[in-house]
Amino acid sequence: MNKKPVTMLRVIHIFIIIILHVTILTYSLSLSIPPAKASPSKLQREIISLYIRLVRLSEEGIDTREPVNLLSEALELLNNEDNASIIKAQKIVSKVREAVEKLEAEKPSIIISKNLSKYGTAAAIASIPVLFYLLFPRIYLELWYKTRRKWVVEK
Amino acid sequence: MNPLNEEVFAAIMALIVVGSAIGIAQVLKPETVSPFTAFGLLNEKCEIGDYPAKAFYGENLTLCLLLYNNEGSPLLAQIRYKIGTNDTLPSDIAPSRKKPIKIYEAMLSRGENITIPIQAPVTPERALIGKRAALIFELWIYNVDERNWTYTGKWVHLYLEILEEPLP
Repeated sequence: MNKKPVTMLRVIHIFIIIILHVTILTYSLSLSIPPAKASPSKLQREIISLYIRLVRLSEEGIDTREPVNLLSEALELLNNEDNASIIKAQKIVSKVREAVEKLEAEKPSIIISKNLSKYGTAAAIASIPVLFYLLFPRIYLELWYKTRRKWVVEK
Repeated sequence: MNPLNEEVFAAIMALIVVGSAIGIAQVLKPETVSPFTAFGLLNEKCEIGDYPAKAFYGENLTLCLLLYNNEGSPLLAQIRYKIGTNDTLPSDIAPSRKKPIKIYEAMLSRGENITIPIQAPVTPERALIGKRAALIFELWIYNVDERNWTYTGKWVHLYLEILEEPLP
């Protein structure tokens, strides 16, 4: 009668042991296998190609300071020449690649909004003389009357 | 003075029109920059002056390099470190014929400056031990149109007396 629960318990024990083994094995393997990394020269080539794209964007008046600073950080890490730095640099480069792609996609709308703000400012400045010509006499007279409203004419 | 007097009003209007024209010109004028890069060598504290005059063969000298980008666009720069003598210094048009010992790379946004601390290994030809050598730092930039590294004609050098390495 008692045999069945005992067998069940053994099965559960074996199952738990297998799970523990698999977990420990996976963890130790993840420690021993280094993550895939690009060679420094490949990374350098990618940095150069990203730089060219950033220069083109900058020439169109797009603010590229943030991705340039990140690439500068990646280059600094590459100067260190150790594995950890190369992996870090690789992460930064892929982040910059995404940022550049985003900037390139947003380029038309950025250019339109920049032009709108530029020509809008010019139009606003151009309207000052017209507004002054139309409004100044009215405002001046209004104020002139207001400041003299309580004046009494002496007999 | 009545500002609504025809003559006074005309004078005020003239001033405002001129001011507005100058303002519009300022907003619409294309951005003009005189492109240049500045390049300098600083001591281990990243300050000007107080440079080392002697170094042991094989020693790593701590120095700083200063770069300033006013090219109007981002700049990808390479500083090629070489060791030569008075005869192998670079010129405004040609780099030194010596091979680079180390290459430092940096990227700068427009209008940005950077100070790069470096460890320059003093490893000239052994024939230069006991003599005066020049640590040469050449500035190269990546030319986007030609897709290659171009020598800028800018370099800095530091003369050092190379001493025999001390016994361990």
